[in-house]
Amino acid sequence: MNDPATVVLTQNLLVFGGLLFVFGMLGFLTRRSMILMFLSLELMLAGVSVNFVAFARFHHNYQGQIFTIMILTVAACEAALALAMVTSLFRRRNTLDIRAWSRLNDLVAMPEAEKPEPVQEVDELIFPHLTPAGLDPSLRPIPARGQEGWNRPFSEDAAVEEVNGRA
Amino acid sequence: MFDLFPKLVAQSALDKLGVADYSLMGYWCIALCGIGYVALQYGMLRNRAIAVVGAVFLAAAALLSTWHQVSSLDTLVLVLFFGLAGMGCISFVTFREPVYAALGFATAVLSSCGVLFMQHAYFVSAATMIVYAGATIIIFLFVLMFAQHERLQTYDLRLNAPVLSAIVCAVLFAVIYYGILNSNLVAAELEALQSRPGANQNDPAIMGSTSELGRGLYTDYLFTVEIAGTLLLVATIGAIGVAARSNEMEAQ
Repeated sequence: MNDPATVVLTQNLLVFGGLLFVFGMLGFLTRRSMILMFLSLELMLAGVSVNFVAFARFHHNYQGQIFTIMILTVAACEAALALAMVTSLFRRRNTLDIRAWSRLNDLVAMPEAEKPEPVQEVDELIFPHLTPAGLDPSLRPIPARGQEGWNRPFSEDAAVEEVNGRA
Repeated sequence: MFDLFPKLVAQSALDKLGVADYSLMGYWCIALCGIGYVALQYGMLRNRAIAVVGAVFLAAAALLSTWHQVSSLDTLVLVLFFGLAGMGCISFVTFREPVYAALGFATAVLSSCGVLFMQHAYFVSAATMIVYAGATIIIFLFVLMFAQHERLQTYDLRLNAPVLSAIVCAVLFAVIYYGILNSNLVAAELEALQSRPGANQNDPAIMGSTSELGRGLYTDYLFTVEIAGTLLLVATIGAIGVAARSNEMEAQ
């Protein structure tokens, strides 16, 4: 049971939490430095914490605050793991740019989609096969750790050039 | 047709509740914020005047959104915390120097700790302050200094699709805002209030008592606390594993 002022306060707090969340999401979408992306994630978590505390106040119980403490725990774990990952990724490519790792994705800049080969009339059974996707590792194997060139600095232009040149 | 330009001054505190003015004002603020953000990002690299216009838009959005909120000293302090957190968020998404951006993040989180403190969540506020603004920001600054080049790099200066991201985030925030204002939260509470007029007293014993929170944590939620401890242990081992293995490889 709450008076109207508390309801308005709860609404304001929810809007504030949403604001923090949305700004965190904006930072996550726009930033390219890995460290700032993880900071944006922390900001989103802070917004969620504000939401939980607002509802704890609204319902006059502690469940929201306890959930917030759990969020703090998860945020601490996430920060530790993220920093370890950022450190090892930085050692490998000597850059914090998230685009240095976009080749883990599908093709960076494929000029046109690879067309499947036309079906030929043969007597044998023809089984369907998947459209080739991604870089062909047999053409240029991605060097394993410790091999030559495994930690060469990433260049976006070179990667695009490489993909375009192959196609 | 509804009135697109809401009136700026509410008559009373109850006026804010169901009135469409309040809601419309919010959408105007969201639009202003989005335009201001894009103008700020565009102007920072090209034209200072556009950046100033963007900053003015953002300030106007902040003023509009808190215009008729302030009715007591309590609310004033709360609104100041909101504004400080908003400025921290904006500097976090705007500054190109990562250290300044991290300081903006710290401002935002500390201000939200102030907000939490005013909601009688004393322990949560202090813990958030220690974990986020203490541990996280310090460690991030260490990594930043370890990994940062001397000059700003391309990935510091250029953004990923700022206009599209601003539109997406503004739409998301508008949807959240619509959901909050049009939920049956207000209607249900007011109905309950009308059916039992004298029952709007807060329970003083349960609000703001940290010892009650601790008792709840170690009785009802003991299993959760244990799970959280296990999670921390696993994360510590994982972080050490990930970080130490690359040290070893580098030595070889």
